[in-house]
Amino acid sequence: MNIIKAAGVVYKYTLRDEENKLLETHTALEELDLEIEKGSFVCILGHNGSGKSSFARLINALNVPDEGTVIVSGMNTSDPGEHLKIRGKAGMVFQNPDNQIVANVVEEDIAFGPENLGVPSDEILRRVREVTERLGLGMFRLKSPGRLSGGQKQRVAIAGILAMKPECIVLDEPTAMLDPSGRKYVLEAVHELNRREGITIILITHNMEEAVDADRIIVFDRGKIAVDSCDRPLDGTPREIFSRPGELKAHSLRVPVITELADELRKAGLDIPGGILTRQELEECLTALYSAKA
Amino acid sequence: MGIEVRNLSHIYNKGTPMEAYAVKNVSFTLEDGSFTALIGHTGSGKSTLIQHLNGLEQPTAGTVLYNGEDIFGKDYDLRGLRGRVGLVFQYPEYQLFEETVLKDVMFGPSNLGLGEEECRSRAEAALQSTGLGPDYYDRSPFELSGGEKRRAAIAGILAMEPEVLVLDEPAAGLDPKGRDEMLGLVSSIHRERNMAVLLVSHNMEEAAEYADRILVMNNGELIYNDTPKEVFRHVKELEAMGLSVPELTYLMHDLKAAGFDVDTDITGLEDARTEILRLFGMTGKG
Repeated sequence: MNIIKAAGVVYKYTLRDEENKLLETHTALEELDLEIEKGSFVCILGHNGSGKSSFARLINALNVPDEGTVIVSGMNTSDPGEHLKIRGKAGMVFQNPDNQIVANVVEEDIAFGPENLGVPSDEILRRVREVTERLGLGMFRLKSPGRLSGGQKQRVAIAGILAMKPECIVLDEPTAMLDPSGRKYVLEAVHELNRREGITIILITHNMEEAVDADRIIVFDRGKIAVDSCDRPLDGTPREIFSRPGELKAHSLRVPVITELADELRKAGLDIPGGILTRQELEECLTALYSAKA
Repeated sequence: MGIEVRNLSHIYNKGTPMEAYAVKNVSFTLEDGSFTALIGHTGSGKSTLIQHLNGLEQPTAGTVLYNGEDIFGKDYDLRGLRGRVGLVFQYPEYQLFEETVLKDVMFGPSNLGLGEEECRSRAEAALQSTGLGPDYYDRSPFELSGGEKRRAAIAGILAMEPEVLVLDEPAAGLDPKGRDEMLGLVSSIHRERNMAVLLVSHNMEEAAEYADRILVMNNGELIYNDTPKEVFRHVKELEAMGLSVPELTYLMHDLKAAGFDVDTDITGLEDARTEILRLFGMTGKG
């Protein structure tokens, strides 16, 4: 079953001067067709300006398509009457943790989403308690979000979405400003929500290592799903996508460093299969080769 | 000579119950022409520390010497120093403001009191160094792509012809190609202009690849000041500080644990490739 279905989506944004005169129109998404399976973990890759963030904002009904339709959990985002409900079903986490804080206390910040949805107060309280525990934020519940680390702030943002009981979370480069441990905690949290609760995750990232554990990778280019030199879409499992380093490079991307090393070793003559993704896979492969040799 | 940071401390909210050390008794030297990376988790004091290097922040104790002179001494020309120690903040593109790219880049040198012609020629040279040719001079900075804006902002600092360049995560938010281009740019500026560079980064691969030395900060203190190879030997300690080591260094540790006799100091792709091929009796040439 699909949770998101985009059909023939065109989205343009316009630049206007102070007198509201149209300066230029830029097409961010061009005839995009894309369906996302409920409960899946999808990574969207693409160079700066490829249309990834525009797509994310369409899912959340922050933007609506100029042509075509975006259906989220059965609701059409072009219908303003559905916007509040859509935002309760598909939450969004942005890049800069500091731009998403709305309250002075962590608990209140998390309660902001369900309050807007009109959830009764005792139910909000119950949900806030539950999500803070689940995301390991219990000890920060009464603290000021401003004093948390970047990774903790991002988890507060995720908690605020969880308290709305969403079916889907869209994260637009959530780890770009975080240090390695902040990055790790945020990724663990979203993987856990996907595995345990079946929440659909759409992760937009520039970090190829983060895409390795996804169910599906979609590469964007010029407002559409990118295609390779044979016109095949760059849309598949991490192993399929990362077996095509040349195609990724043509789209300003790369493969994870472990995959790159495995490719180099294969070129040098070692019998290593394509699409190695993790340290463990490479280590097992080298161990097997070594014992065969000895 | 370069920059010498001597026993520098910076205390926030001093004398109140909220008193906290942002920087605690930190000492190090940035030699002329060196390339140093500064790593540490968010809130470890990196940003506060770098703002002392050109006198934007005043230390609570200790000082900074530039070419042997105390920059916080009486009568020291701090304005002149800001031309010599260029600071590129995170997301510098948000600080562009002029009507044209060229005017924006000329703003820095004009603040140093230089004449119009001198400002223009410096701005043009700086734009050249960042890969923005004459086609860009008359364009509005707001029409540029994200990567171009960032390069224009860096050109604005370069146009002051600093001797030291401090960059706070210059590649944050860029795609892999943009990241490579940005760091390639910093590295070529470092070589061509023989500038000392201090690169603040959250990316261990980046620090290992470009820097000769790495400074590691934790809770306001300077924990390590050493070569990348030495610093990345402290896997457990770095992890406890919310940091990590390069992915390939982890791989080498995994291989060692699996019984392979490999060098665990490796951080880069080329060295990892050579080392693994060596295990299999291959030279990896050709």
